[in-house]
Amino acid sequence: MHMHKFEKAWLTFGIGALLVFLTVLGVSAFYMGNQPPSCLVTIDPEKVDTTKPFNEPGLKKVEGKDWDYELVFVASAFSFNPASVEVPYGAKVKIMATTKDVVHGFQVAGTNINMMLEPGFISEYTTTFDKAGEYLILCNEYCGVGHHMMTSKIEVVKK
Amino acid sequence: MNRVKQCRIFPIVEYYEFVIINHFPLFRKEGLKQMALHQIDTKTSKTKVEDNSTLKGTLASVFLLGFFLVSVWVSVYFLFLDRF
Repeated sequence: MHMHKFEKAWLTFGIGALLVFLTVLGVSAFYMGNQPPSCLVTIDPEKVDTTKPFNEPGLKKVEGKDWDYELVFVASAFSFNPASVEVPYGAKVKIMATTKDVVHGFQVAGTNINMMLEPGFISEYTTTFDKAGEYLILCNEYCGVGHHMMTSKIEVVKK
Repeated sequence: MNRVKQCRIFPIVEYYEFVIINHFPLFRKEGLKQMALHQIDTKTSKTKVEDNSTLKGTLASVFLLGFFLVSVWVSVYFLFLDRF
């Protein structure tokens, strides 16, 4: 089959790009262990208030784990619990969140923390808070009439 | 019919050319000229279809789009690395 040399050039480029993207995806998932924030960890949405650790939302120091703190959030129409939280600068934190009613979003504006909270599932994200400042948490999944009022706040403070 | 077989590259284009030339008086004169040219063509027989297209413009467009996509991908990746 006759093929123009320029056609060969852009086909090589296109197939090369595809291979690079697939390799990045494969390495990220199977070698580095990256997974979606909600990954098969379940909870009874009607018993969130009595199920550990969601019975006590907020920041807690933990020992003997890969992270220093656990930050627990419970979302419900139309608020997050806690409404505001202070995190020490440089702390490695595992954020765990779930919802008691409908699907909510959990986005910390200006960071990579962006999860969907589904009833019956726990969403988790581990990160190091290495930039001081005040970060707005907002719901980015439309959840009802009060959706736009549904916010919370993380303050990363140097102590 | 012989003519059509020999010059056949894009049958759909040929068809529209045929319709336009035969149904619009403005183009009829041009059509007759083309028919004459085709007749000369059939006399010399065996027309070879050669690809003289340069594809330079297409190459430039494809790679402009390609580099735009790659640069956006790299920028977003570095934005991701910069944030916690």
